[in-house]
Amino acid sequence: MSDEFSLRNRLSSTVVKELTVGLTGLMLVLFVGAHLAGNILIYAGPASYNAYAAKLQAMGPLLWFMRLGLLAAFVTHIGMAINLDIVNRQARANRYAVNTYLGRKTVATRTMLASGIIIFLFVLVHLYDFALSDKTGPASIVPGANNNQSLGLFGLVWNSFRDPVRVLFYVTASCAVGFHLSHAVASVWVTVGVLRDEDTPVADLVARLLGLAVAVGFSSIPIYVFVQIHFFGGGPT
Amino acid sequence: MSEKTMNLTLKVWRQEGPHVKGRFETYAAENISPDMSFLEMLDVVNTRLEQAGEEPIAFDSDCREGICGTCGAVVNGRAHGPLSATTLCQVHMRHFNDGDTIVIEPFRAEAFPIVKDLVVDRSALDRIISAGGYISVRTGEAPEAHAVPVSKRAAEEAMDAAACIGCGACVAACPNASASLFTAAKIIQLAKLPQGNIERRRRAIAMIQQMDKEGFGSCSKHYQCEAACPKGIKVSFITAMKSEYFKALVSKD
Repeated sequence: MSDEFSLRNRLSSTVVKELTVGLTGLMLVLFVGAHLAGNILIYAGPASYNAYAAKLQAMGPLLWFMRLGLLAAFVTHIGMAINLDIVNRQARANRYAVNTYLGRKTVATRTMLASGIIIFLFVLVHLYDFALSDKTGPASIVPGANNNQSLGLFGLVWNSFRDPVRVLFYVTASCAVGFHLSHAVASVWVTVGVLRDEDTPVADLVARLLGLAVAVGFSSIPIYVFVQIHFFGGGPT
Repeated sequence: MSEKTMNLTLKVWRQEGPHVKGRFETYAAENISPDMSFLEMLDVVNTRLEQAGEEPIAFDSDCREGICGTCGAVVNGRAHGPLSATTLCQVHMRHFNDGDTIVIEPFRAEAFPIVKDLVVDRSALDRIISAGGYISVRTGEAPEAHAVPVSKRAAEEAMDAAACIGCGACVAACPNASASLFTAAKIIQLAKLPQGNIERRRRAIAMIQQMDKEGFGSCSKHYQCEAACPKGIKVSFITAMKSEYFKALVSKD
């Protein structure tokens, strides 16, 4: 066994780096799915929504275990993707004068870096907006609802989407997540080495539907709240 | 020969050597027969350049039958020109229109240094083969055909992979200049068959390590390679290559 076959060398290949991006990406997709399923409870009203939030908080150490796992996946995904992107840019330092794009994947594929950056910035803002903000203070009081008492996280979310700029930012970010996923979920099967050629149309379709569902699902929440406030007189129903 | 001829404008990448800065030069390609191949058209242009005392455009070619993998340039942004599943030597001028401007560039990749004009050094691909794209076990004389069963699917996949002519169009077309499709084809054509099966683990590791070492990029699934490949090699071979590598990672061989 020469040194080339050492575990360290075998694990540092681009193929393993891609696998790392793919597997951490899949973990993040699972989180996105669970997060959407929880968030959609906003349509069920303050009681259900806050009960869900309370149930999550009550998980205690398990919640922190999941949070740390998610953070690790997030950081690894971004770090490896940047690492590969640097290698890829070096591999094609000289650009063509004329580019003709022929692959069956188009916009989502070409904008993975851009959508990734938008998502990264969004996550920071999003954590600041909801996870780190006071959920019982004045920002969580929806005027005219619940006898002007705090509506908890629900109230905070509700008041946040009074602002059209924030709504626009959240919708943009949701679409970026959908776009990112529509390429990622279609191509991750190549990365992990499991897809046969005849299965690719199915994988493409599933990925596009998933991306669409995520984009529409998350976007609907700020739009719903904004429309309720500005067109139907404000209070949660 | 009284048929119609074409007049074209060529914008060709000229570069005198590997470490010299290149540039586009414009040439008129006049009275070109639509029946000429793309390379024959370049031959005509070169003859005229030589007659005028200018340096002819350097480009690679050998068989001009689409099977050797020697020719290749990026024509109007497409490796091997406008036709799918066709090498540049098999593209005929009838696929262009009279008056067209054609931009001709070399295959660009850091792992493919430019030798001159449109000629690039693709020996990086040879070194990937040298790293493990062969069989070193003694397989003896040809056995009785039915003694070595090979499934229909495996035989077809091996043959499809073996169609790769190593031209490097996959690298040229990939936004990351990745050699994944080439390397995958060369790994899978052997892995699928009994003779190649014996060294498959070692081979996958060695060839992929060499691919990385040569400075090719990684695969981000743009499917440009598949679209550019003159032999129709599919991205699913890259999937199979990954599977080979991961199995090799946990194998004791």
